[in-house]
Amino acid sequence: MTRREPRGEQSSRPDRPSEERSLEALLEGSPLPGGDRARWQPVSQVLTALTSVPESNELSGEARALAEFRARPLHGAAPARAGHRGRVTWLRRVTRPHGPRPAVTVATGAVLIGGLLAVAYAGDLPSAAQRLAHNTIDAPAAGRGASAGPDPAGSSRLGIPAGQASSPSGHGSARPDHRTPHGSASGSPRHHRPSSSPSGPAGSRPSAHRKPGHSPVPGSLRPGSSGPGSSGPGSSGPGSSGPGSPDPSGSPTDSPSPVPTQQPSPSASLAPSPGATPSPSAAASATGQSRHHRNPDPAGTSSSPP
Amino acid sequence: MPILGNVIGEKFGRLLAAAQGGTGEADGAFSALWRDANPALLRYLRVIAPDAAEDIAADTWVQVVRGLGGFRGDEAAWRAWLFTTARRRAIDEGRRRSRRPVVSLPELPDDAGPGGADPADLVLEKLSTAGAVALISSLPRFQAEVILLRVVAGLDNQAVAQLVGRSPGAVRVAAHRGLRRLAATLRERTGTR
Repeated sequence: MTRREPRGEQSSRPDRPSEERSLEALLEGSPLPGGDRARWQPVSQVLTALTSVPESNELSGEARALAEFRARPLHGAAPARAGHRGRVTWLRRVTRPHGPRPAVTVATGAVLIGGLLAVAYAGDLPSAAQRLAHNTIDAPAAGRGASAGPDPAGSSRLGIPAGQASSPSGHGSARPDHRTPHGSASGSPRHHRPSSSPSGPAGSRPSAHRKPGHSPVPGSLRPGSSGPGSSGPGSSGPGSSGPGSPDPSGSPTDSPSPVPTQQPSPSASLAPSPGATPSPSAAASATGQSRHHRNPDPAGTSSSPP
Repeated sequence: MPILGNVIGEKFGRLLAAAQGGTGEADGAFSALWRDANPALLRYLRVIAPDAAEDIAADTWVQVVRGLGGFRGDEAAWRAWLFTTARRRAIDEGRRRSRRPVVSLPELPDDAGPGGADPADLVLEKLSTAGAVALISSLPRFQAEVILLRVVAGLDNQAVAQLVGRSPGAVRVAAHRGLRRLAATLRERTGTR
């Protein structure tokens, strides 16, 4: 940056660069150049007093600030800009131009969409609409309603066409797993979301957390079957021993080899025999990830000044 | 030596993360950040908004708490954000008060300013913070503000220029003029040359 010296003043201020350096040193807290120390010492003392240790009256508002801090919403707080209330008011005006109407509209739309989805998954839409729903969101196909298939509700929850999924839902569904006395890691290893299924209600997914060596016995899960390793209460995994344990009687119509069709499972080929060891894939999928689910660290680490 | 630049230093990143994290350490971390910055904030506000420094400081922290989760940056950015928020709150308060004039009591005791003090009593070695603030307050407002932002807030010339909305050159000139005027005032008060 060019500095223009006023005419006639240059000769009266021969030490201007030196003075500039001294002033910058004062502002930065750097040591003063030797020759100027005496000249600027009083100013330095004032600046030192400006930055002295806090006094008691400067720390008296901590409790109030801490109360505000504790009352803050922990998640979802939008970054604040260094703006004033005018901006906040303006923002409110922009986002709510007509009062509650947009919110009502959005809520109504959400209800309608939810209702449509429920009807679609129940298979009660008109056939054309049901076909469309089947093609787009894997709702039950037209003509197959909620009553079709062994576990239409469970399968529909998973997006599996009813009738195809002979296994109970993999998410610890509330529907009692009448096919799988153990619950079934065997039944549908693919469906196991271990973080969601421990102690699933009604014993639906006890095998989700089956340890290797326990026996989710694919194919042995006939109604009433209970060989070694099969789940008596408390035998094989979480959920299998609690209330609502799967009904070992099962459904006579259930396939003896509850195998998810989406993923071929070695378990599907196992003969239904008590004591059969679980398939490695079934066991692995059932147990491998059950206890290691981690949330991403929400702590922000990027660095971008507001 | 004046405390400038990074005050918390290397611990700042850890403190900020703890305060943003919502864990058990968050309260302690926030308190540390608050204790580090609030005295400087008050000293700055006592010059630019002496009638409402405490209230503006409190409002500033409310804003900061709301936006804390989204803040990203180092300590210099943190202080810039803090003082920017405070400055804007002070401007708002000034506008509000101009619409509704309020009779307020002086923030500083009578003997804290240079005007009321006997020059012979102006012992710089024992100058209090309030006395120093009063001396700075005797300068033209913009010069006083930039000196405080450089010295108390610990911001560099570029950051101060961005904060006050002026060029870096203008800010530097104002700061230097302020210091020269302060030196002249002190010479008059103490009777030295």
